[in-house]
Amino acid sequence: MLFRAIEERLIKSGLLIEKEMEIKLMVASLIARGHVLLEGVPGVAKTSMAKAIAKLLDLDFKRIQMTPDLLPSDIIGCYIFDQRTGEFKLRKGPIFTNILLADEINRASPRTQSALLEAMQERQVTIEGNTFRLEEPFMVIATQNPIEMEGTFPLPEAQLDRFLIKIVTGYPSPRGFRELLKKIDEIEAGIEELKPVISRQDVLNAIEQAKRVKVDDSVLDYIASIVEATREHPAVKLGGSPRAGIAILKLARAWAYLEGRNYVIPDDVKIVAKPALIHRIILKPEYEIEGVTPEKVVEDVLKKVPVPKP
Amino acid sequence: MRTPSLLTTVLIVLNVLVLLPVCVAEEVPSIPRHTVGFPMYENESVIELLKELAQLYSAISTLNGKESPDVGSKALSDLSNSGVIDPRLATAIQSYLENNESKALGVLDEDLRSLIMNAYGAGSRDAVESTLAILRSMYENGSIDVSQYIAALALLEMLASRNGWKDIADSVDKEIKSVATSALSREASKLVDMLSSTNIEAISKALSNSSLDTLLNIIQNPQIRSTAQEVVEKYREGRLSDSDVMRLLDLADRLRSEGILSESEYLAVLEIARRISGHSTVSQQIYPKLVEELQNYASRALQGFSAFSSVARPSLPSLMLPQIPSLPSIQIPQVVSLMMIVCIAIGFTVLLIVLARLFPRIVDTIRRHVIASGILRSISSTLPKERVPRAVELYWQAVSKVARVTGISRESSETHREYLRRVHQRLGAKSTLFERITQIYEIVRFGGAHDPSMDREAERIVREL
Repeated sequence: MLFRAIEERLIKSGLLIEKEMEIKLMVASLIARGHVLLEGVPGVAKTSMAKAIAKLLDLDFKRIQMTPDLLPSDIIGCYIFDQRTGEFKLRKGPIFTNILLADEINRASPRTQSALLEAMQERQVTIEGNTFRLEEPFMVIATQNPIEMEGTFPLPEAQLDRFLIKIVTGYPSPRGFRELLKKIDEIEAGIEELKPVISRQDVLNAIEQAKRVKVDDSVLDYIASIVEATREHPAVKLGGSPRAGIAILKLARAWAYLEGRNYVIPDDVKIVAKPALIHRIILKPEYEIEGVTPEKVVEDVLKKVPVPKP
Repeated sequence: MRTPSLLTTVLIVLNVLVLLPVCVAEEVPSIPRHTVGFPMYENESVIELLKELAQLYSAISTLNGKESPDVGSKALSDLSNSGVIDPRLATAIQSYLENNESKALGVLDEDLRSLIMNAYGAGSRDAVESTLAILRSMYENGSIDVSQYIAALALLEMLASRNGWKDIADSVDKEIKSVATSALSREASKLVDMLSSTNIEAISKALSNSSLDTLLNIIQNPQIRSTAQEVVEKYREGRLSDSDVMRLLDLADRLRSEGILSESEYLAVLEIARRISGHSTVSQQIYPKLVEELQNYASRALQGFSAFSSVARPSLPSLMLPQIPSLPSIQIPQVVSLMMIVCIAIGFTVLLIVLARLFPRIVDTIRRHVIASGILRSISSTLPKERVPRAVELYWQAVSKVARVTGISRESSETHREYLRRVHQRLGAKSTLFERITQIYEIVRFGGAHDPSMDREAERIVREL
């Protein structure tokens, strides 16, 4: 129901062309209280997607362009001395929002990256010894460009594991692209004029309701088998961790909720397994050279692991 | 002074705990705040009651399409806030008026929510129709209250409208209007009853809130207004007599009977007359007139509400739930025969052990023959296993049939939906049946639903496949 409203405004109205899957995964991640790593070349509507979701869900949205000289205090905030009162005043950083778009996260220094990722994990920030909880819902959408690697600081595996999902978004099809060119003025104006379809409280309710979605024991076994199978795949150096399994479970519940169901089915697990796993799998170099990708590994695993029976 | 023992202390505490609610119950009425009529209106004015009656009238008019949904929604909020109607009933009707799914979901309890979400998940006409039948049956059995029934129906109506099933949506819409109207009319009739039984003191208090000048301003008719002003002047100058008051009342009665004087003007005249006449005999004649006037108003309001409650109920299919079969009585064997059985069993076991010791080769030969013939395997297959729901068994029967018909068998890593997509085209006209049994499998297997009607439907589908 929640997603249908978003789908109506963004996909069916043609504001975001061929981005249904990406939008749905981002909303599922928000409901599962996770963060999103969005990988794509420049100009594939990454910012527009994040902005549109924030507007439709009546959430606060902020964007930071990550650069090598950005400091942790530029993100989380700091205390500034007020000469008139003679006191230190808190200036909150852009992380105090509901949806934060961290553009080109791999351009920030490792120190700044880890400050952001720590805040993502803890959902709170500590400034000068004072701890501040971040307002719920809170989601970071970090983007990175898969091609341009010069002058970047690639995220280490442990940091990547903190993202609930990785969404790889690409160019539209030739037909979609033509449609985009035809309607570009309407699209630009349409995204700016978007009005909330649900309230922030509704989003918080959705988060609570998604937690109550039923997961049968056999589905839990299925998730565990998939994660274990990634570790046993011949091309894999490091497979899915228990956190990967938890990510699949949370996303599958959120996905089922978005589909209007109060129970998870194996299809939900299959759909979310790829975005939940691809950034957590490290391949052996010899296989990587041969062109094997984490996506291919997950596909292999899903083709082999039996679904719950009867 | 002797210290009380532990037992005495416990008894004292228990007595206090038992007696305290009784004492409190005598002081504070136990009727919840939203219960119409008591206790919150005991000291309220009649005008407030009339206002709330008008709000209920407005909400009912909206339900029957005579006013805009905003008006009805606002009226329901006010009524809910003032405690006239149950807040859940107000929310349920508001969710219907505003087409607000999350509001409607908020009214439902967990079981009902899962029933509705199953229908959403299935997304088919059949699922919606069977859910409607279950809902109707639950409402008629009293398992769900009117608020939950309305909210659940509102959600199904939204689902039906979205999928273009106009006939279902229309039928559900009629049902909601009928149920909601009669629920609100019940509240209205309680209010009207209260209004009719309101005593003279309450009416007097209600009207005495206004000054004489305010009451004079209510009167618009020039003839009665000038007479009333003249009488009030005399009262203020201390020259008033009973005949002046009677003259005013007679004129008011005449104009009222001719239909010239409005209801509010007449009430204002009566109140002026009551106020200025003090404790004279004339004032005794005015009280009954006031009561009669308000009772007439209440009766007219009740007629207005009863017009709405005559909305015909649409005929949704009613579900006959199966009767729970009575358990057969178990004959407990007598102690003597039980002892005999135990003795025979022990004797037989001892005999087997002795034979095995005496003839080990024979035993070994028998064991090898038994294993080879697969008797042990077949015995193990007959042992009780974890019970699989009937609908799930039937789904797998359907899968075998479909695999035979289409030549496509289900892979072990393939989900039920993936298999459905793969066989969809080859099944042709029967694909709808297989789609439905797949839905039932999903709802029962992963949703944990227990519904005998689904078992019956699955049986029918397997027969037709």
